Amino acid sequence: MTTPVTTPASSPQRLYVRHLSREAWRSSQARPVASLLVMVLTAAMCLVSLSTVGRSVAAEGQVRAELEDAGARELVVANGGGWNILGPDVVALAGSLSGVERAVGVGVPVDVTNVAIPQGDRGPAWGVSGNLDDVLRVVEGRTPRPGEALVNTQDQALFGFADPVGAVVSSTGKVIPVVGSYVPKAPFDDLNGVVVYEPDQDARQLRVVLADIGDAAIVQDAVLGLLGSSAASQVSVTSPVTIANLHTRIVGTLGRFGAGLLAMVLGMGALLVAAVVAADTAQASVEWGRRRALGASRSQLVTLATVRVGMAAVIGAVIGMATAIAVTVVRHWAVDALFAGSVATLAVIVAIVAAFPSAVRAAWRDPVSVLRTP
Amino acid sequence: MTSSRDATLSVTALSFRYDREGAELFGGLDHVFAPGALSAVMGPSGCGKSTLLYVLGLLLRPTAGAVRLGSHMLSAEPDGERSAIRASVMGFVFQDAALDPRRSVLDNVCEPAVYSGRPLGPTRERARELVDRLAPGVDTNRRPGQISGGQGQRIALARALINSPTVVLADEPTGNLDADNTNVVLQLLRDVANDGATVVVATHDPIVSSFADDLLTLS
Repeated sequence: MTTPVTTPASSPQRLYVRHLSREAWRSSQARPVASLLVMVLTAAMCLVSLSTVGRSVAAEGQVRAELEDAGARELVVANGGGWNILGPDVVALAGSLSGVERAVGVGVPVDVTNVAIPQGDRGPAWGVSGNLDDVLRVVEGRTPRPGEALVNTQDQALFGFADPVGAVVSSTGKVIPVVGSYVPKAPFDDLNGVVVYEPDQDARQLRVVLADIGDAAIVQDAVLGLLGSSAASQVSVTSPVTIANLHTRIVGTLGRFGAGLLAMVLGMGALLVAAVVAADTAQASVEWGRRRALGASRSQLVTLATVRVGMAAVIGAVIGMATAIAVTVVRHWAVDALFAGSVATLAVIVAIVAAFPSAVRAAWRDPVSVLRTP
Repeated sequence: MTSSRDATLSVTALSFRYDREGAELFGGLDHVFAPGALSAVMGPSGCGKSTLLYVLGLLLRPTAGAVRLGSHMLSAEPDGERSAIRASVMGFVFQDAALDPRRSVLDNVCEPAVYSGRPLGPTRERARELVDRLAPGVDTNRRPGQISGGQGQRIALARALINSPTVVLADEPTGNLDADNTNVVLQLLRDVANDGATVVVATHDPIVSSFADDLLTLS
């Protein structure tokens, strides 16, 4: 039967975070050269990463945004022969396909003038089937009923409408009531003049906006599948598949380049931080031995050493980020904020991981051998 | 449960060797270091005086035998537990004081409390009291390089006492001191023993024996 020694500590492995953090901060100030070097190296990792990989990532993001623009994601199926193969049912089915963001039918434009000004300027009138909200935003007036129209805000003056209310007339004498004005939504910016809501009319064009450019080939097959094999051969298709393939290649290439460069920068930084910490802990062997003799456990020493490096690294990362942001502002470089934050976090983690082997070695060194006075 | 303050530090059948080919030290030593006593460990160079202190301080594990505090076999504990015991139950004084030259006197005195997890505020208060008592006149904001060797050794003693240890182990604490400072430091260790702690001093200095209650001579 043994009687345990009473100790005030509840557990020898307990991490006294506050004490150790304070001790790490004080001891990092006591060893300014090593702390400064870790700071500079971490700042350099951030700065170099952001000024090289960051720009690459920003360029990739810009290219990706342009390639993923609504206009680039548009699939157009044109019924050049005038056959009635793009009816309202096909438009509705296309809109319900997985991977399709919007689908509308657009008819052949006809010239119209303001019915109150027969000799006035002419403009196009587009018959549209499907959901009008997918094509335009009503600015004034109300949503048109079948057979009614909206006038483009930019063409309101052209037609001579003081207010977007009245009617237009086609060259064949068909009068179309105008009940408001609209602005088109991308990629339907070409629908100028007047848009006529014709939900039951066959369209000349089926215009499909894809949710994701990467699905271009699949969605194109699905849309053409709605037409049947004979009808599909009678239409012409303007496809985003080529853009999708280009998108994949560009994003892949830029991504691999960026990742490789980032790994190289951080790897070099890690090696240098490891060398600094190794030299520092080797030089301070008596310090580690003294700490062990005074009651520090090995885990506490490892924590102390890594927190010490972590604190210097955080300061370095902040300095590096601030410098990088200043450089990017002065040079008008675009850098993604999320990427910048991720690089700073990664640089701190890399510094801590690089310090870990030296911290472990210091904690496992025999304290007696360094404490003995000859 | 017995408080460690009342427990007796003892060694039984103690032997130690640094490596297989090295000489065996202590030869199965049995000894009791009584609480409230100042024990002097003496002997010629190489007999293992400092090594005995490191074994008692749980920095080295004996090759044979045991170190006990009361009935608790400390030497059998795993490394983490021995560290915790060292932090909370023991205080170390080294020959060269081994103060951190880059930290203030106050930080040096408080250091063991970091590892035992004692609250920082009361620890700093106690550190100031200890410095006032053991090294009056020393500015706690100064660095070790700005105080004398004798004052440094007193600061080292204050550091050893910061956690109110049961056992104070001093390895040649007067080795680098002049006669006046030697007397002061030994009197302070005597006072620590009088306060109830077990004080073990490894020394080759004969003057220590005049302060000691117990003399252990290693051969």
